[in-house]
Amino acid sequence: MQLDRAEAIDRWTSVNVALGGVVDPELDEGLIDLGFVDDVEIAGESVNVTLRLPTYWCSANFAYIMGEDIKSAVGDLPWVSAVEVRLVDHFAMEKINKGLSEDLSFETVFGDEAGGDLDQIRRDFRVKAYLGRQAAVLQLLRRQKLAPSVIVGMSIAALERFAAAGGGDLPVQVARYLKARRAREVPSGADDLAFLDVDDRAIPVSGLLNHLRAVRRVRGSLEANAEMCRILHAARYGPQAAPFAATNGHRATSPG
Amino acid sequence: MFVTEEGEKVFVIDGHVHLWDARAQNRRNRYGETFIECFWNSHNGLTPEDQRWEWERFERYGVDVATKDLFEDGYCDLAVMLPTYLYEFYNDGFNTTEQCAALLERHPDRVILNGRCDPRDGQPGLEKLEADFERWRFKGVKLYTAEWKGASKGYSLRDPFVPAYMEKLQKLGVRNVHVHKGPTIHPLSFDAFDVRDIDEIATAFPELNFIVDHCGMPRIEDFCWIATQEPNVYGGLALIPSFIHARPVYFANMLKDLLFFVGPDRLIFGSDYAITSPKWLIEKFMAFEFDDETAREAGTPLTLDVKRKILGLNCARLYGIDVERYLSTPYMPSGSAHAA
Repeated sequence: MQLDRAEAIDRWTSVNVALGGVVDPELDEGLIDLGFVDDVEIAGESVNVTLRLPTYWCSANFAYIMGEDIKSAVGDLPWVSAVEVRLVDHFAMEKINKGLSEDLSFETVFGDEAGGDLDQIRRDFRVKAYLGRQAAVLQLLRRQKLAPSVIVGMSIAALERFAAAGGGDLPVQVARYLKARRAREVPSGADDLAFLDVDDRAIPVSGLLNHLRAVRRVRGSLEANAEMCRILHAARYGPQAAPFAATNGHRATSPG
Repeated sequence: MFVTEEGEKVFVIDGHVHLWDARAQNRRNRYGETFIECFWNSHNGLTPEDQRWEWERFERYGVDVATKDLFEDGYCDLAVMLPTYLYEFYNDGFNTTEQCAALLERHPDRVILNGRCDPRDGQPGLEKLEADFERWRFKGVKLYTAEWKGASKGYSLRDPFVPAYMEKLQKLGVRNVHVHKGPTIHPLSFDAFDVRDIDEIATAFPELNFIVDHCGMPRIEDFCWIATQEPNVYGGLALIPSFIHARPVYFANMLKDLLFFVGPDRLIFGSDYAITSPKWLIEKFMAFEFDDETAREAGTPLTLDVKRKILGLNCARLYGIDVERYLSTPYMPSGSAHAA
């Protein structure tokens, strides 16, 4: 099948947009922004994505979640019939690549080696992402000198109006926050309170400072981890790489 | 000992030090390669450029280099050695108690040598722990819960075979339990960096102190929460100060949370030597200050008093060190005259 140039560009763009929405579950940051997507190949209706992580020892379960999410996001594109994810330079890459390729569950692939279940991790990290994003919004509102009583009493509709009028980083952060909140299935109608505490209850005015500390702690941890991952990734694939770290020659092809 | 421009003496213990051998002849497999590779990448990513090492030195540096980096140049009055065995990756082990003992033999007054045990070793492991204790009389042990051992890819402090080891430690009077909770290898369990197992064991063994290495770094927020509830849980800072050069804002953020939730009396400095070296870390840390907002959120400015606790006094308390004695007899390189 011969695609015209415009259509080929459309396909590249749509894959990039789809990948742009996939986050590292532990860090709540995009895989593209983190530099973890090393290569994308498109051949007809098939897409191959090469993933390389900051260390050989990065958590197998997080890697698996990323792989599943890539398959799901790219596979949702209407023209895509097959997605392969190839993790490279990783201690569990054979198992992970085989499992992803055959759409097996993490538990099936790792058997007794894996305690707990991946869905629980997804849920735990969805909560962390939600709290971290809430912290980002609260921080911006505090910077705008909104009174604590206004913040804790604000509805979702009011928050969205305020964000639209306020501009800057706020509209993006509010949208990210509300998306994470809806993913948790916390009631999120226009009249519902915009901010709830970690147990999904209303925040009393007197409790706002403690609440801020709690959510900022989550956000600070996410951000610091993401920086550590960036540092390790840059060092691993930079000019200072260890003498034996020269990878397995996986870059046989390059996009374009 | 570090001396400020004003002449204030600051007692220093590096609470997290290794003496490893990761040379090719000691590496058992690709795992041995990639393990030291992670360390090397941390070293390069965090260390100021003019302080970075050659690869050959990083693979194995030995007692002479460690002596210079820790005691001659690195301001350390003492160093706490934390063994990491990793026999699955290294033929003779990576950083065993035996290897670490070489530094103790050179500096009997300046090295706090810790032991190591693996609760998966059952009864023979308990006997080995006791024999090691008879030999070295250590006051602490290191647990590396992520260590691979045959089919096992790590364990949790919730596992049923763990309490027998805690009882043994308590009986021997080995009170300081350093638990690795941080990056590098990990068990395959559902959340590799879960720190919540610390909570239960710390409650069950109130006479023991649990020093959580790297403050559970990928889960600092959970660690902070646990440490507020458990008075016998300490934060081993290693890795966190290392952000001070490459990412000072993140360093300030992490330290701020730790100071607020864990408090200045339960944080212990460590360089994670030889991932990086104490000299530049301590110089930068002594020069570091919080801005007003950060100090407010931390509940305290980064005063000389707070820095003294973190750099040495907290650790001295855990290990029963006579700080005054060290301040009056600072380290002198062999061959030079001793202080009066």
